[in-house]
Amino acid sequence: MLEVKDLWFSYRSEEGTTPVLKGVDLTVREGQWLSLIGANGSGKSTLAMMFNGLLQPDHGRVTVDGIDTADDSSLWEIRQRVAYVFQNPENQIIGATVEEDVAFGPENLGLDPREIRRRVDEVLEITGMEQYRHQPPHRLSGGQLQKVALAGALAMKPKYLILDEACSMLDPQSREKVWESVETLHRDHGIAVISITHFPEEVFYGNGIALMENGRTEAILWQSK
Amino acid sequence: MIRDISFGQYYPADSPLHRMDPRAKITSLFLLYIGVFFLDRGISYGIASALCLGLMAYSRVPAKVYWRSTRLIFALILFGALFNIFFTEGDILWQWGMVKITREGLWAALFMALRILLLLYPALVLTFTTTPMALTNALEQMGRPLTKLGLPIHEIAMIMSIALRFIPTILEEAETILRAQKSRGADFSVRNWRQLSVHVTAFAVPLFVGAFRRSDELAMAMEARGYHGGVGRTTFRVLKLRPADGVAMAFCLALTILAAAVRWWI
Repeated sequence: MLEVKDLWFSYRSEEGTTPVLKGVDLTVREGQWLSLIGANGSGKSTLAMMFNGLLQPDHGRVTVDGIDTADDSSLWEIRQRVAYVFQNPENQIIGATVEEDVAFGPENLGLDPREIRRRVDEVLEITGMEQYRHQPPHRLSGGQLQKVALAGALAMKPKYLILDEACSMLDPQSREKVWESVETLHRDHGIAVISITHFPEEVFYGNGIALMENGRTEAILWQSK
Repeated sequence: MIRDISFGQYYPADSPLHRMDPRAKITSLFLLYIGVFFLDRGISYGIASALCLGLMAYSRVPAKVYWRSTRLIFALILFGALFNIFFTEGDILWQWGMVKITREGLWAALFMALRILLLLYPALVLTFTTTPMALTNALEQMGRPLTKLGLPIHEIAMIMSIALRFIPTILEEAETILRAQKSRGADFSVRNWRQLSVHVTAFAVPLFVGAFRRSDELAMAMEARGYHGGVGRTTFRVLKLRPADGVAMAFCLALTILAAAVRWWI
């Protein structure tokens, strides 16, 4: 279970402090799919980055299956459970080829090379990127890069998947295909999904909606599918 | 176009060089580099150049890709060659006042240009046929003994790998900035040094800001994917030296010994 309690966070710079999250409370259980919606600057991405310890709260608590993200020694464990796909795929591709990039996460987990290869093959098939496995990232389109980024996250076999506008650069057909893949993973493997989106039709893949406004969750609705 | 520059980028193809163990490729390159410094006469340079062309063809990387990567360097080579042609003392072939061309100058210019190219193209063969990640793994394994001296070998190799990976991205960004500025009426014709400095600043500042932003996001993405340094990390591509790798290294060693023998004993 992902649990956020009374979460406060501000970005600090030389110009001053910008409060972004102002007392957020949220819970996402195993197997759930929550769509996080709201205007630009409402704090969605900042909140999402709290889930796997990329940002630490100023006040309040974030736990992943009971593990506090503020505990530095547990961050590695947390990042195995919570995978994150960022909005801009180009800046999250580390490998020089598609398959090298997808393997990056499992390599960090110290998995056996045969297991890494198996996972790479599996997620490239799921995302439809098999034929591009030896291609360098700069030869791929924006949409293909987003699929690679998604494949890289899925290869971690996460329990929770955070998609930060991860399909925003795809055409409608490709977006639908990726969402269907995520839906299959969610349904068959029980991966909990938190998706940040600006596309109203995408909230229907999930069974929950959280509306963020000015650093607060104004409304959270859960519905059984 | 800026993005046509492909220096140091991996070029996917199916060649025996692509399949070679990266450690064997690095060792072979090192041996060839020693050999290049033994070259001292026309016949040696001729044979070495032919072998270099053979190596490039063997990589199955198109000639235009090599050309695109080095065409800017040719300007530098030409500048160096002109310097040698006009300022080397020796048998005068042509003279006009202070300006003279000597036989020794022509040979020095030719040999210097060939030496630079013989160092450059084999290095390009290595980077075109080896992914940065494979290079990282190879350098990490080869430099493992140095970690006992406290050298951060994994970190150095990872930095190099990321730098190579981001060359095309940064070039693309540079081109986007130029286009964006041109589309808003920027005139890049240079009439004096002051104008040049204004153009360079207008171009370099957004490029550097973009590069820093990217590095920030990349660091975050690496953390999110569980990167915590080299400890406990595995690689999905297990490096394994095969007989062909041994043959390649032995061949390069033989060439280096031959070059040394020609220089000192023949």
